[in-house]
Amino acid sequence: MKKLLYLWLPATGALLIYGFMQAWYIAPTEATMGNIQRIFYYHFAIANLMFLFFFLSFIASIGYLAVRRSNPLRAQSFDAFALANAEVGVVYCACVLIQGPLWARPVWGIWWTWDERLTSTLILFLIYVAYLMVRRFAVAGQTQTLAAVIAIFGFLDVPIVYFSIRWWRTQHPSPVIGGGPNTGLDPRIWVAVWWNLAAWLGWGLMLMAFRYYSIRREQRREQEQALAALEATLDIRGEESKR
Amino acid sequence: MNPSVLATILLQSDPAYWEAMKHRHLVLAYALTWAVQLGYAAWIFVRWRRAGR
Repeated sequence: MKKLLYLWLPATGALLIYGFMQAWYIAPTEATMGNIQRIFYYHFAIANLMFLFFFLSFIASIGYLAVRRSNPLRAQSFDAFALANAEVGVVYCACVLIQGPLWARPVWGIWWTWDERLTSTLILFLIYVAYLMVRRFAVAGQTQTLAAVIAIFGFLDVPIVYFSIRWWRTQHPSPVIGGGPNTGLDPRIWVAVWWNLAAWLGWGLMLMAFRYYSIRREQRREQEQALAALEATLDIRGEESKR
Repeated sequence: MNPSVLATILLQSDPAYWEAMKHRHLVLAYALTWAVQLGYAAWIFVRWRRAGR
């Protein structure tokens, strides 16, 4: 598995370089906005993959709650998977929230507006930051259960973010993909979109996998430490009872 | 009118101002995306090494 991860790195690197070339040099310049539209290739790919990582965290959190009593060892791997995906989702969401205002300022004339798409995305980011804060600072015991509940309820915001541009009239543009008649992208733009989606998917999965194994290592070390502490306590009690 | 407000209006009425901003923001968006991603990757690497000890 580790070998696969180490092979994944150069493959993802090559994809990212080619995705960048597509976005900056090969895709045509958009007629209205000019070169600033090239943010789209990163913004679209990263935003959609953010949904994917939050979805995986949501599924793993349900898995954790389902088996936490019947199979605690498997529950630990669900918990690690949920945390790793939530972290990558937060990082991707942060990138989306950075790119958006940088794109908006020269095009809309403003950095930010409290429309439904932008506000719901910010709320999504804050919910999952709260999830990570709970994981980091809550007193041990019910932390994993509490975090899983936050991840499940937090995910309810994802469909709101996704459909906000269909449900309401927003400053953020209406959907250009699957938005009905007279919407769509130039085929040359699609090529750059797909390469960047593949590249950022590869990169995100790689980060998530490394983080997952890192969390599993931490969990095993904590279990070993707890076991050692328990054994030491039992040894002390055994010696005391002999006296 | 406040001279600084007038200067801002004059500056923003120049299309070159917006073109320069577009270029700057495009570069900044890509650079900050990579800064965040590589920062997180570095943090994972540190945690990975620490957990492996």
